Amino acid sequence: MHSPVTPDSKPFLHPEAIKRIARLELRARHIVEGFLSGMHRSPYFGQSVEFLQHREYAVGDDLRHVDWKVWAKHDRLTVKQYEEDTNLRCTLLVDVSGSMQYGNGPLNKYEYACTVATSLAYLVLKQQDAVGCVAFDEAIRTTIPARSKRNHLFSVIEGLRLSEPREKTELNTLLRSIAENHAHRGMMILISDLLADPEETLKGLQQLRRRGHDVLVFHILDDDELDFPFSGPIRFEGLELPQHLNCNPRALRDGYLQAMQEHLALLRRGCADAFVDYALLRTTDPLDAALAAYLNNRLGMHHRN
Amino acid sequence: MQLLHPSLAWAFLLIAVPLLIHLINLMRHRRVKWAAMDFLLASYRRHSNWVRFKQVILLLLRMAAIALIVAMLAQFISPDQWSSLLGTSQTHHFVLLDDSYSMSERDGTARVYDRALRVLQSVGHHAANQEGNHRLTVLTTSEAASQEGIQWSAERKSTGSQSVSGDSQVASINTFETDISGTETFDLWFEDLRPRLAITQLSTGPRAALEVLRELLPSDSSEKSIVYVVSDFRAREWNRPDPLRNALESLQQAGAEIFFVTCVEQQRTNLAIKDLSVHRGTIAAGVPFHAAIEVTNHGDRDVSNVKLLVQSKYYSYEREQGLTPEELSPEINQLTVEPIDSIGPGQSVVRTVEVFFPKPGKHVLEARLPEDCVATDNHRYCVVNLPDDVPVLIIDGDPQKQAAAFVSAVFEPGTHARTGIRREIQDVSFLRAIDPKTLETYHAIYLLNVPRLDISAVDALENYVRQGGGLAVFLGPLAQLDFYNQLHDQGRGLFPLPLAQDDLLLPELNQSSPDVIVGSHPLFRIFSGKQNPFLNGVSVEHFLRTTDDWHPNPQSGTRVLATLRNGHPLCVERRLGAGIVVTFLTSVTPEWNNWARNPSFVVVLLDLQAYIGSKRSFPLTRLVGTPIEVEIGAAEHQVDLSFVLPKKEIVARPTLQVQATPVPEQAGVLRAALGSNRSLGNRNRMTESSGIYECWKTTLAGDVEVSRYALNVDPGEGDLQLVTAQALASGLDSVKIQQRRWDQFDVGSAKQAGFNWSGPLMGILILVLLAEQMMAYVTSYHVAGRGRAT
Repeated sequence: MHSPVTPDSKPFLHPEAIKRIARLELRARHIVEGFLSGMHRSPYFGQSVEFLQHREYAVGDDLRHVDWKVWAKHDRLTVKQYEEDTNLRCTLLVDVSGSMQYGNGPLNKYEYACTVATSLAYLVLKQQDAVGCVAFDEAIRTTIPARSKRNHLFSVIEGLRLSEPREKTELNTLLRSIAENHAHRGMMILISDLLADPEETLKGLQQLRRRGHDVLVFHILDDDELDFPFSGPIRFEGLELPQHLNCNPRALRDGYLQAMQEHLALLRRGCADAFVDYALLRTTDPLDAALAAYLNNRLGMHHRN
Repeated sequence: MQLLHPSLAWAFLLIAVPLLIHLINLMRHRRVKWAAMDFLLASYRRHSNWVRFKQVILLLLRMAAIALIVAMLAQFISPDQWSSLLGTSQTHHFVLLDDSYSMSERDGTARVYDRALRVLQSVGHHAANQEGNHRLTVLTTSEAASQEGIQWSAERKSTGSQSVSGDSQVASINTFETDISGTETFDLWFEDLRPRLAITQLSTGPRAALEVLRELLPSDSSEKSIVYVVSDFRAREWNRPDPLRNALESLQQAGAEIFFVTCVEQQRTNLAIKDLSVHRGTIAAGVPFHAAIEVTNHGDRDVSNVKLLVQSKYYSYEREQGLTPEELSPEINQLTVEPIDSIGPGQSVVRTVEVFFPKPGKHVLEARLPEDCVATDNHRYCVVNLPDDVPVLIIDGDPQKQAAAFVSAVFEPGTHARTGIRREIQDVSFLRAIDPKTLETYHAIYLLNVPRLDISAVDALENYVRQGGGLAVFLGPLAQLDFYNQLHDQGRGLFPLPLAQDDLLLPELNQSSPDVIVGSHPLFRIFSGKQNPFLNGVSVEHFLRTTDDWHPNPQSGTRVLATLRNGHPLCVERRLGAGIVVTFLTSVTPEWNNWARNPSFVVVLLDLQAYIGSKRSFPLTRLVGTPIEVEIGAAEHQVDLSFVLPKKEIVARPTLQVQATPVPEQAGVLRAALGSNRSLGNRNRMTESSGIYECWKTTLAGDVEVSRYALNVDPGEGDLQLVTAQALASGLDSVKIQQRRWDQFDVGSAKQAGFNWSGPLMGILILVLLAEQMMAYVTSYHVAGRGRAT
């Protein structure tokens, strides 16, 4: 069964994984409103001062951005444009419900999810961006507000640690309330096994998108859940609800896998439709490899824009 | 439904094993805390019916496989109603029971024949315990032999044959159900049959029985036939299996399965009295004579210190009058016999014993050996039909009867010495119109110096000799050569050799060898040994010489018994029919030789009488089972006769009252027989035990006459040498025989009635196992490479 998360944060910061991710840069897929310059095109003004280019003045441009030195030399109205790193608000939505307690490998899904969340938090903080954290199951259990201080990482870890996973995941209402509580646009990273009604889950994700958030979904699943390698008579007992089933798993495998694939396909398609980045992670996948592959992918998508 | 090994029936409980495994697995469920229950439940709901169906099928297949394995091992036999489509519906068991007396061998405490009966019983029990229709036919070799009406061959010295009629001793059992009452019914039947299956003293081989069996076998191939030959398989009967093979082949061609069940473990030593006969010699009242007992060792090792018991039973005529058979008791004398030191295996030893009966009558000799494993051949009986004297006819061609005087001086030397021979001297004319019956009363006929005979006389003599009479011919000066050559008739006639002329035997200057050279023949016992004084004393001057080109032809029964020193035959014998002719080519009287003056003449003449007269003296040996026929004259005897049978153990001698019936072809002759006719389809077993049989006749005057007959067993049957299984198998190579021992005799699967499903069950089992594997594959999880479900 689940072993309680230790006060020591080290288990979530596998040094190897962090080291490899540190060579990469987290890129947002969409330009975040507030910052027009920097690596992340922020929709916000005046936060960064890295010059990008000159542009001819057009009617309606703010006169504060006219480069008067160019006007003095060339008698032309030119507007200076900047691009600079914005202060990204990244919020990690970590599912700590009972279903996350399943795990047959070295890490169960909850531990894996925490590790991923911590790694991302560290990465975000290293980029001087702000990171926050929401741990939820049936309802929001802990909310860590976004900060960009280096030592904020420990707050995030603390927030995750305190969240003892218990109950059923219900994502729609949950995501809606999160959207309402986070008025500032930013990045929402949902780390969950998504074992809930997919329609409701997608609705919740669409809510986040509608608020202008850039949404990433890390779908954490165990190998057993994907491959269903069981044999011999087994009594399956529900982790969240008091259900149980005596069966020969071999007989049910095909049907299970089919249902699982339908579920995954539905999620993947729904995410794609809502411009939500979706990635399926197995708990046996190397943490660094999974993150690196995902971030590479995201960077590639950014350059294509 | 039936199992060959019912003890395996409990194994059908193993069918529950897959079910138990299933239940145990249910209890041993691994508990897994599972998150994705929704998908699992969805899958369960979608597939549960189909999965359950497949699982139930798999369970049933596994249970069926176990049931099939058990059924196969236990050898499932279906009743005939089922298998009539595939197999036969009725089984007919033929048990061929050897009841010849070699089966009476005692092997330790058990009798071989009792083992055979037990085999019969076990066959019946097995049949009773099986489903299907079973018939059991028991055929004994003695019954088959009597049915086939085997002509008792001449070498067995038998005088009659058994009639052929009546049906067989066939008993049948109807269908038995597989309950115990079936066995009991069979036992009742068997107990009823058992007295009729008593062992015989006959010597009957298996061939006749096999041939009878071939007739009994059903022609209908829907009936399964099993033949059990229950015998002791003696080498004597089975070592030359050619005729047996033919019989067995025909059985096999008729679809019979053949089992040989041997009831003997190993060969044992058995002594048998091969012969008890009156030794050659003149047998007459008041004359001592010798009886010879031949004992054979039918074993494979020496037998030493055999004490032979011989006794004579003397019945005087006076005693028989006015007594019933029960009251008659003979005067019994134990005769002294030299014990036999040792008999080698397969060897025979002859002991002679001197017998003397003072008065004529039908006396009895009995010989007995100590008990051994076969008791039947330890007894032998002989009836000595002792006449007052032996009549001999002497025909002298010389009217002076000089030769006859010499001969009669030998036969009737005087009142003090008795030879038992009564001579009757007649002229040549006596034979001219003689009644053959009168001639037959003479035990021997002597022709002395007869010049020639009439044709009727020649015919009568030839007839006499062919019927077993003995004729001695002494030639002489009166003999006419052309008549004797005519009598020779190129070898076809009575006279053994052609004659050329009378000749002189010239005396030699240096007389080194005797005139007469004799072979080793009983006639010339007196001359045996080298430098015999008697032989040297005999000189022959004149003889009749045969033609130069004549040589004795062994096939014609002619042989030269003595020659002269010049090589010409002197004494020649010729066997003609059952009789014998001995010719001396010189005279009796001392005209041509000096023999009659030599003491050896007396001995040779008495030996000659014994030699040529023995055919008349000794009755033929009768074997058990041959009928005894008695003919009486209607004018002399009363019609009512009684036969007295040999005593069996302590029971008094059974007496059988019989009325003689007229013989159709012979007027005035009545005939009665014992053991010849069949009654109610069963063979007449009256004469089937060895011993002395008596026929009590009463004359019209009221006097009692008793005839005695000795019936003996065939001593060859006592040869207990066994045929080896290999010899039997190789001799009967073309016949498929299954050999068993009586104690190994277990009616195995091959003999089961009904259809044995083992073969088809095997096929079904393979199919079920294949289906089980397929089903198991279908219902189980298989990793297809290392691919992932994503």
